[in-house]
Amino acid sequence: MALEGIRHFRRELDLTRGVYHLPYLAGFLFILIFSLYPIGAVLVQSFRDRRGFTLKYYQTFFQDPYYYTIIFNSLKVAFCTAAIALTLGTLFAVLVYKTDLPVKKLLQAGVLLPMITPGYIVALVYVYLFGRNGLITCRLLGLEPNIYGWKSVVFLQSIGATVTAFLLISSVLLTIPQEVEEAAANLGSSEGEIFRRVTLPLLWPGILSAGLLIIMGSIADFGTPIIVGGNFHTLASAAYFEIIGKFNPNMAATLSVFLLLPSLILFGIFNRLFKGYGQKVGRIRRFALKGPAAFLLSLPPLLYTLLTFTFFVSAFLAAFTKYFGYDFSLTFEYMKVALGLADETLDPMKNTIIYATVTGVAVAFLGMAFAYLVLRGDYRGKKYFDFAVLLPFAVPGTFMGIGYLLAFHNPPLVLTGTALIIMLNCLVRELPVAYRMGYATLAQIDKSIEEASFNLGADRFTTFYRVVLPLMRQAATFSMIYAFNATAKALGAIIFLVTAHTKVLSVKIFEATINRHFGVGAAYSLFMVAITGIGMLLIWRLGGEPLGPSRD
Amino acid sequence: MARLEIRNVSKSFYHKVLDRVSFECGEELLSLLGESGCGKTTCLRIIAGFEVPDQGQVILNGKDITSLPPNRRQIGMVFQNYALFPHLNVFENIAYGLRIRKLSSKEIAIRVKEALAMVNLEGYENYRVSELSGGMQQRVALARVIVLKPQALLLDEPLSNLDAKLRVKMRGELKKLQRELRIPTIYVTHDQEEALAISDRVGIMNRGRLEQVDTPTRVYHQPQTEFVANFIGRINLLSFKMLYKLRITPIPGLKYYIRPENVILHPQGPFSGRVVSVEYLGNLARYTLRWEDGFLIAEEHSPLKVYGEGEEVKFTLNQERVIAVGEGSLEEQRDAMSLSCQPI
Repeated sequence: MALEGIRHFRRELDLTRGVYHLPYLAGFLFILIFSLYPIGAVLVQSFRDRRGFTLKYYQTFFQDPYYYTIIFNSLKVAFCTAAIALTLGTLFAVLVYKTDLPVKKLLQAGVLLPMITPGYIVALVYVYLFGRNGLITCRLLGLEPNIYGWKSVVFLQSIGATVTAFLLISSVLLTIPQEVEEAAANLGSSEGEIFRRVTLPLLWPGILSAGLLIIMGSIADFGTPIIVGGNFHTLASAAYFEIIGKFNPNMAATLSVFLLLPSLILFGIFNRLFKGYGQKVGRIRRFALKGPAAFLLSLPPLLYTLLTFTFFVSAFLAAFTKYFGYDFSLTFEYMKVALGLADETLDPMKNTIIYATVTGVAVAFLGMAFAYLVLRGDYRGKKYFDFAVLLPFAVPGTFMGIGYLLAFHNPPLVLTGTALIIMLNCLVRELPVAYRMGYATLAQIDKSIEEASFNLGADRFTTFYRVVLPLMRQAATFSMIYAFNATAKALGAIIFLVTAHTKVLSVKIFEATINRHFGVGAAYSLFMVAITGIGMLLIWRLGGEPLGPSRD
Repeated sequence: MARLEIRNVSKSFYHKVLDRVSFECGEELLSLLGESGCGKTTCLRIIAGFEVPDQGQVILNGKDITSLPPNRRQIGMVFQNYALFPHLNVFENIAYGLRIRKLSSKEIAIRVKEALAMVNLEGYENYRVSELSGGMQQRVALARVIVLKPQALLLDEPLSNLDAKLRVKMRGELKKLQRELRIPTIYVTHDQEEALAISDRVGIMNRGRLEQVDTPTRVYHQPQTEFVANFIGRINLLSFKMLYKLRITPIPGLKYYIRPENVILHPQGPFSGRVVSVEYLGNLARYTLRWEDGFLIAEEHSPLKVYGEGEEVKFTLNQERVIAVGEGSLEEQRDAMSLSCQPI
């Protein structure tokens, strides 16, 4: 009787038995189909042609010096971008949080501004301002420079990457207790020595983590090289052209495999290194920065801020002037196109909002639920589950896009051309962040709160619904907004998946940029900025951490 | 009459945490006292249903509830950190269990009101729990379980997060509340003063074993094991030389102790010792005396004069209060028990 009773008991309480097993199995199945299967499909495609197994794409890859060049190109751009962004990011973080300079609010706004302007919008404005017919280079300075090349790619990528660097480094910086630096001062260090010997070494984990993320992001970015690279190609842009230009999915898959490898390795290191944010401390020590040193140190960040504001304002103006630079007359023509009042329809905007909303809600719910299952259940294989949920974070957007294209084009599951395929792709890609957030929140909730609920008579489901979920509300809200923004901005992952009926703003902007329709692109960009800006403001209002920029 | 029984309960995690623990608790306040890691909280969690014992039973009012899931036990538990729901206000925290039981909102309002009155928190319904002081949070945690009219009450170190003054006040209130509820109440604590002050009976735990369950006076004056004798209060082990002088013939297998308050400083006392250290606490002075082959602790209540270090003092022992205890744990001395547990 006792033994039977204990079995009965386990059934009722244990998360790994009976009905409580179903959500876990369903989650596993979901990840298997919509994350691992497309990733596997790319790998399979790279080893296959019409007749079956082949190594010829890898042979081509290793024999043609062109491919060595593009690998080298990818790495060159990535490391240059990381070096610039980390230097700037550290400088910004220290000036904003650890000094009392009067300009620090301005600097903070300047460094965070690119968060709401995705890389392809920045690229659009860049060409517009600095291109052959650019407003600044041509009209103001009378130059006709050739901006197309790797330096422009690095320049543009650095703008997005600096935000990443700033956010990660300042989050570490805010955990340094003032006593540590005061002790150094007490022991006779000058301000410079404190920074070099105490502050900087403590910041290293943040700098390194940021570096890894920036390199991952840079390697995966295909939009920037296509827009401003000219003949300069990277792995990501080459993979794009294999699909769009030559329709050679096998070679695209092979290139994607080489895109995935470094990303996985870097992500592995990042996971080892980054143990989450430490406890924020109440008071931060300020450096006494004065005179010429203050001027010299704040000069680069100020120039950068000027640049980001210029880009932002230019995008705004370009949407309302006939040809910003030549013809300053006011026009609503572009806004009409964007709003669907001219020949086009309103679909891109409507689609963007619908897809982003659905994805955001789904990401938030699944992220919280998966975190609960993994943290509170003692399931078999939950380590693998954890890994599989996080994996898409390391997978470049282009890779996932090609994976979805290959996996869901043929039976058993055909989703090509549907809206669902776009939302699922974004869902799987944004889930890791939500899952992480849910996990971190839940880990801080004392288990006794759930036990108190059992003690008061509630079962597992009631406890999850009435106690756990409300306590995770903030994490859920943030991850929802984050996923909403990321989906609205997403480009690389979905560019192969959209059709005429499922066009979204990001793809529209990208197309406008490639076709040099600056006015329309700028008008679309305004709406994009408005949509993502509202989300960002909401997070701020609710007291959340500013989250990293989109990955593509 | 309500009754909670623990029969022969054992539990291992990596090592043995509970080893064949048995006790009964009627409509009384029984505290489990022991150092951290002695198994007292595990015992409580088994009663609440959060852990399954490897062996043994938990019986409530004659019903075996060992296998019943925690949400069906009707045993209220107050957690050490209170475990209040931070997203709910005071009213909703207390109403939680009632809502689970699908009571009408009218009845919920009435019962929450009653519960708030019982813990003296009227008028705090709409406060957020984070706005309350530690003592108030404690009361909410209590109200949250008593509103369900549980058949037994478990308190896991409920006062450990309060400051000293409030602790003394709250323990009086807890005892009063238990008297009103008249249900078996298990109170886990590591504070022996608290345990002695509040309990009808005290269970002393050591390394997963229950050494003795008795009234506070008996635990103090008639400890049954060496551990209990040494754990509760201060105590002096009497040397053979002292026993000889007191004309006590030691029985093999027994150890002889005396409490400090029975070491009496007296100008005509037969023994003399030197004061090694003094602690003056206002209502009493505590001396460590060096006497021939060892040290003795002596306590003098409401002392008019306090001896200084190095002074020579005379003292005597209240021979009637010498405590004899069998060596080793309870099992080792179970046979010898009948001899040793009586005062000599």
